[in-house]
Order: sequence, then structure tokens, then C-alpha cells
Amino acid sequence: MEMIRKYKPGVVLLGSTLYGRTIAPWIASALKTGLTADCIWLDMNEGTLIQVRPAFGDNIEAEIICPRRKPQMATVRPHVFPLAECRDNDGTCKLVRYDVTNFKTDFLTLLDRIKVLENSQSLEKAQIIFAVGRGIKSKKNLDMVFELAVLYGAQVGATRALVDMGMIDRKYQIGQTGVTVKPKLYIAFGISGCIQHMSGVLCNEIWAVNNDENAQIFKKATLGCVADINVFLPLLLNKMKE
Amino acid sequence: MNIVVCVKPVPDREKMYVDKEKGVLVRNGADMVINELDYYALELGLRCKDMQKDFNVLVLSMANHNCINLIRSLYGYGVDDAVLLSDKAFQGSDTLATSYVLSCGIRKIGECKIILCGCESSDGCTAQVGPNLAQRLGMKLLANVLSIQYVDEKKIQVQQIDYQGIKIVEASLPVVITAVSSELKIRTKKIKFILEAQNKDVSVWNAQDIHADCAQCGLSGSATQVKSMHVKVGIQTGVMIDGDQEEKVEQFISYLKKWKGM
Repeated sequence: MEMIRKYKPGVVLLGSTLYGRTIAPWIASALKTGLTADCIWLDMNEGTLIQVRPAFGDNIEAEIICPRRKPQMATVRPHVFPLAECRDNDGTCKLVRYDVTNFKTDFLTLLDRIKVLENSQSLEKAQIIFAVGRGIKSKKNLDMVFELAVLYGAQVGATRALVDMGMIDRKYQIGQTGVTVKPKLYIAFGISGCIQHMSGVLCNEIWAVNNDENAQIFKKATLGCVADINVFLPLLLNKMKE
Repeated sequence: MNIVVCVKPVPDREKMYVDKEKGVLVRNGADMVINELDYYALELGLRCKDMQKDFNVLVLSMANHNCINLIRSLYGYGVDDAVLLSDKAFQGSDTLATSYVLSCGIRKIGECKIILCGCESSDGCTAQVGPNLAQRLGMKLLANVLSIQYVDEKKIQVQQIDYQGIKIVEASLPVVITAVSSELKIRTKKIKFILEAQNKDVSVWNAQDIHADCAQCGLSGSATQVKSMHVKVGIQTGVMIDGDQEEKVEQFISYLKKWKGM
């Protein structure tokens, strides 16, 4: 806030992460300005920031602008742009260092940490992901997917539904409230394909195995297979082992 | 002491789909339902009341007047009061204007030390209203809360998700809490409460009732504008594997092999 008031930027961008999604709306509210969440594309047009975000499901994109107020604020989904290299004062950008040692909160006391996540970076950087959803049905099937993933050199990811059921740890969660992944190949086992999950999957090669031929996921999939997971997985595992 | 749970009626997503040929969103008269994550917020609010019997739990919603029965139905869970903020002036509000209207409603209710809301809505998915409310009301923010372990008149202990995992924190009141989905079991409605609810009304307040400045509500109070919406093009249904189970698996494996060979 202090920095924004001092430097008066036309545009303020934050990462659409757990933390960014929490503090950005607080800042926007304090500045009484607009904020567009989870942008997947940005453009500048004569000083106006064109902010593109998914809306009403994964097949619609909305262009949002904030024409009358400044700064124009957006959170941007991680990894939708390649990392830019920032060299200090090379004419294109200027790195400002700001002393934050005097800022602290006093209303909150940390009592305990009950679960520490391992770094989810390995999932974020995975080239191949085998993802599992509610349709996986049993722990046995889940174990088979883990085994398949090892055989094929893939990482395992999951939907929030499966995490909430307590079937798999939260560190595997992909989607709006989990990590955003960008693999070359993404195979969905028993995943219906709702927007909250799929918005965290940036991938052109999506394969899907699901018993419901009307599942949303087949509309996104480049390769689809309607099959009973309970039969499909053991067969696949056996043949892969050969 | 009042606990306010903010809830949002949203179109039932199951009944909406995109007509790709026409490029439009088909709502098909989709029924309105309470946003799923708001039920977690409601459950957290009711658990506070389980711990401190004299706490008063209110639900608050800004919505079209025809959502009144949906809001009334929440009495069945055991809430003490329900308030609907409804006015033509509120229509078209973005998150900035929405949180302004809600904050006016909360100020009118008064004596609120805990405000709860779902972390985000299933239709807008912005996760902005909770943090916005905290700022407007000058309250502290506890975002992404899984459960509440202890509460009294002065403080609250919660389990909260952060980027490192789950932590237990204690905060002094007042706070705004945003709820995420969790293993928390959401209670079902009770016959006793449903019967009692027959004699209860939903208070409906308009802009004047909550002393809202109409310039800060609805379209005029919104900072963001939707410039355009378009259906993404170039999405096609991919190849579907056919055959009996055995053949399907064979084909799937040959695709896997082919892909790895590339």
C-alpha cells in the first residue's frame, strides 16, 4: 500500500496464488479500485489494461477493463507467461528495493503447524501428470495409478474432491485452490472436468479415461476412453508391466 | 454477540452449459442454489454457536428478491436470523460494490465480531469479497480456514491453510473468516428448526434501510467492466478409443508408447 501510494503505478499485478488472492483484494478495496482475478492473458491498449480471464466455465473468456480508476489491478495465474528476466536498470525495468523490516502483525499468534507440505514444485514442473478424481473410487485403484506413474515416469495429481474425501494428501491438489500445472501430457483418470480443476491445467495434450461418456472432460480431451476404471486400471497396469 | 455468515445464491452449475455452435451460455432457467463453499462458512458459524450458546448466528445475502425462499430455507440449519439485501440499485455490482453493500448491511446489524463467508463463489470465482469486507470493516482477515477449534468473546483459534501446509493460529476478534472446503461434516436441516422457521421472516433491507450511497452500489459503484465475452474457438472433441475393454487398453498403451517415442 505504501509503495503504491508512493510510486503511483498505472497497473499493479500480483500472482494468483493462495497469498496473492488474499492480499490483492484487500489492497484493491483500500484503494477503491477494480481487481480482476486469475487472468490468463494481459494486453495494453493506450494505457488501458485488457484483462482476460475464464468465466462461467472453461469455454468462455471474458475481457475485463477498469476504465475509470487507478491503479488497474489484476492477479495473474502462475505460469501462463514465461518467466521474464529482470536486469536492474537496463532501460526496460527498474528494480526497487523496499525496506519492510518495520512491518509486522500483532493480532495473530501461531500456535502450531500440524501439517507441512512438501514442496509442490515437483508437480508444477512435471512433464507428464497422471491425475485422479472422484471416479477413481477406491484406494486400491489409487495405488495402481501411483504404480503406473512410476512405470511411465509421471507425477500424480488430484482434484479437490478427492483431497476433501481424505483419499489423497492436499499437496497433490491441482486447480483453483491447488497448484497450476503445465505438463506436456496430462492424463485424467475418473475426473469429470469441472472448471475449478481444469483451470489449473494448462496443457494441450489431455487424455481422459472415465466411465461416463457425457463427462465434461471429454470435451477438452484430445484422446478419450470410456471405460470402467475398476477394470481398465488393472488391465493397463498388467500390460504395462509386460 | 453476532456472527454474520454471508451467503450468495448462484445458478446451479450442473444445469448450465455452453452451446458451442451458437457461442452462448445456456442457463436453461437454472435454479439458484447457495454457493457450495458458503455452506462451509455456515457450518463454521454454527459450530461457534455450539461452543458459545449465547452467540447469535445471522445469514446475510445480497440478491434478487426472488431468492427470499432460498434464504429462508437456511433457518432449517438453526440460524437465528436471516437478512436479504435487495434493491435495484445493487444490480450489476462487481466485487468492490458488493462488499460495500454487504458492509453497510453488517454495520446495520451491529455487534458483529465474526464475519464468515465462503472463500469464493462458484460463478464468479474471484475470492475477493472476504478480503474486501475485512478491509472495509477494519477487521482482521483469516483466509482459507478449515475449522474452528475454540472461540470466545475475545479470541478465536482456527486451522488455516497457507502455502506451507496447515497451521493453527489464534487471533483476537473481530475477524473476517473465509472458509474453504474441508473434511468438515456439514450438518443437515432439523425438523425442529424447519417448523420454527414457519414463524420467522427474512428481513429485507433496501439501499435506504442500510444507508448505502447508491453511487457506490451496482454498476455505478463498480470499478471493473466486462468489455466482451467470447466462446473459445478451436476446441474440438478429440479421438475416442473404441472396442471392448481389452482392445481399449491395448490402444491406450499404443498411444502411450507413441507419445513417449515422440
